[in-house]
Amino acid sequence: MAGIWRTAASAVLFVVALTMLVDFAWEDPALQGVATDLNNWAVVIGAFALGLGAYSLIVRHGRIISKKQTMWPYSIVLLLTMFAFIVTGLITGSVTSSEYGWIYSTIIQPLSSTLYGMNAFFIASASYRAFKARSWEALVLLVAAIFIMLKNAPIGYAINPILPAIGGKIWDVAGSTGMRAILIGIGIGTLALGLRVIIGQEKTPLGGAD
Amino acid sequence: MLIAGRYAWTAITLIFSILMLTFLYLSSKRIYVPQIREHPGVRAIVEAIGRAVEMGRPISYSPGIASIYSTKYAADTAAGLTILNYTARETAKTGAKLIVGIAPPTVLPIAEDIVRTAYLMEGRPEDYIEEETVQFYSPNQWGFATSYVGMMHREHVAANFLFGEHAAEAMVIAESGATVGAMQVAGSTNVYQLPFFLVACDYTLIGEDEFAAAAYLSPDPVQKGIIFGQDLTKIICAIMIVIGALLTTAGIDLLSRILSM
Repeated sequence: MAGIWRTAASAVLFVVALTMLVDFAWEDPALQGVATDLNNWAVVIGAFALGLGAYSLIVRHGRIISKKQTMWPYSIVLLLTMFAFIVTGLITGSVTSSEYGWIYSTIIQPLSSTLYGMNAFFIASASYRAFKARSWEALVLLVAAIFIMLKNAPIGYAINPILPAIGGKIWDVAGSTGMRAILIGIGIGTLALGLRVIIGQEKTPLGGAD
Repeated sequence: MLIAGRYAWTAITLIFSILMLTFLYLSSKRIYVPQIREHPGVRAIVEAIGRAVEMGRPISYSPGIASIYSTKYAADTAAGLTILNYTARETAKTGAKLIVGIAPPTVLPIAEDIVRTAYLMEGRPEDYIEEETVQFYSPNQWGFATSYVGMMHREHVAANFLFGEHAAEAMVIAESGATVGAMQVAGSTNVYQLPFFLVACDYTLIGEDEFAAAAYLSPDPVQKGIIFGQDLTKIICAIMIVIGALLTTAGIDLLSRILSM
């Protein structure tokens, strides 16, 4: 039975993918309408999936609380916060309301900014490990990183204007060339994976296991 | 009619697709089955699972923070899910504990189905625990990152796999994985996050390697045909770049005009 569903899903995927591809290159109002509808369906299905996510959270954290597992009080905080958000959204009737905005700007935004800022410390510790010149590749990485740092930090220009210029060359020539080569490869790789999924050679993204 | 400015795109997509499908067909008919070298990053997935089994500690896996219908990163998520299929089957075989952290809700039912089926196919359905093996954290990037990092610390994971799309949280997660002593294998097509993975992880699948990994891991030799086609298209692109650079240097913009048609 599962096999039939997967074949049906593959067939639907084939038709939908072909529609979206042709719509990108072919000018046809009817086709454009179908493509827009398909995009809207994806958004609606995504909204339903959020309910599954909430259910999963409630079940897992409910289990942690009932069994008093490690750090169970945090699970209470998580569930209370989630219900506070849901209730606020339901009462005010909009996620753009001032109450909802207040929760977002006073709790979520500062927490997100803090975590983003912590990246600096993580980068420092990772760089410390990576920049140990244990091989030729690591040595090249170390030397390039020093020049790039001197390009971005004001002290580089203060020492000698040539130093940031070298860093600039590494960034503009070596960095950009490498990045573009990777991007071309990604484009071709995406096409190859897309083809495998469309023709049904790769069915994993549809669920189940091959 | 074709939209102006997309003639070249259509022609190139068609030519490359036909080329890749031709090699897929040739390998399916056993006319030409290419030999593909083993990728160290892909081999490292097996090594990391083995290491976790020996240490008796769990394995964590993230298929990324992008939705399955994301315009830009859907392919990354699809690649993350195909590698998850392989990882789940290997962990089920070896009896290791797998924890999959999910950010986008649309990926949750797919990941659950993949892991549940993998455990079932390996004859260990009892090892799959609902809402525990595949855990939904948060669609919010930082909400997901903190939950995932917390899980890695609490569970003392021995192996951590990061595939699919990861953005600014990549560094926080990968460095936390290094802190707990996990062997880490990552893959990304986000060129801005690749350096973070390269410095913090043991192995990194760069760009298209992540997409090709699923075909590498497939026991079906037919899948390798498309990788060969993929490599040929890359060679064609490289030749076009060289010719384009030479022509442009000589003041001839013929190729660039053709490609912008």
